[in-house]
Amino acid sequence: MKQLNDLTLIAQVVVFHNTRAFDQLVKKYQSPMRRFFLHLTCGDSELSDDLAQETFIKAYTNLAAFKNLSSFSTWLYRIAYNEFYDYLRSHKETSGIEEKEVDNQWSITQKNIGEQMDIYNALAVLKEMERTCITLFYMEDQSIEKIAGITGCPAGTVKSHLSRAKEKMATYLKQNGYDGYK
Amino acid sequence: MDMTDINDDFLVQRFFTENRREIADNGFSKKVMRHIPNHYRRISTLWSIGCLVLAAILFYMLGGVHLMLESFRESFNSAIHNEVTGLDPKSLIMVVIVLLYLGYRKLCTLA
Repeated sequence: MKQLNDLTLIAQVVVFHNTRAFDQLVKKYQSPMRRFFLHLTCGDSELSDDLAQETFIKAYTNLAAFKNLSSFSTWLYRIAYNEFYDYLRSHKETSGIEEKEVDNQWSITQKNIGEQMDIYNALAVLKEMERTCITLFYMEDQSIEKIAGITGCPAGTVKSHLSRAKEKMATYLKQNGYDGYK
Repeated sequence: MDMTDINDDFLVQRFFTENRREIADNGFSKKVMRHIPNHYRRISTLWSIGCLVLAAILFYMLGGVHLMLESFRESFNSAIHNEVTGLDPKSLIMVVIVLLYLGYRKLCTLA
């Protein structure tokens, strides 16, 4: 059967509160959303699933506010980004430690690293914003303009984060024997 | 962009491409749908019931019941005329029940 496009599904959810239509949207976007969170949390699958679930629930309750100015996926990434940073802020408030320490803490003490993939270790060397930008750019194929829309940063700032992240990751990869690609 | 930048870009891009994977649903969607606010589910249920009632009224008002009974009668009569002796009334009732159930499911889907 031909897949209904996002706008049709959104209209069905907004107008008829058709939960089946929303279920189709969840099924379609669960993989990129959970993958995005997995990279932001450096492989914490439990936390990623919780954040992804909250993202979808917020998307459902605010779907009427979706104005189709951007694509649905960009809108969803923006909610996901806000969800992650809300979590981070509340986490920081309770622990009372600085951003750098949170970065380091994540890279060292996080429990559910899953398959211990090199990618999570490589991402752990980056700051949160750098990790967000590089994940969206290389893993989720978002353009710089779209990343700027998702994060609310100017395109120039996104480029700077990307450049720094790329440099740090390249250094890490070279140090870990990944420079034999050429 | 100098040569080092190009190489770094290539290195990072290839690393990400090789590590990209699709995540299997494994019940995640069901879990999300269970946590969708009840308010909307209630509205959805009420909407489905409303549509079903409306459909039933329209069906009755536009002579659907009469037409259905007529067609059943005709089918039954033609079956008798064709001397189909093996026709089981219980099977016929089961078929009607299944058809009504499928009709109800279809109406709910439309709602």
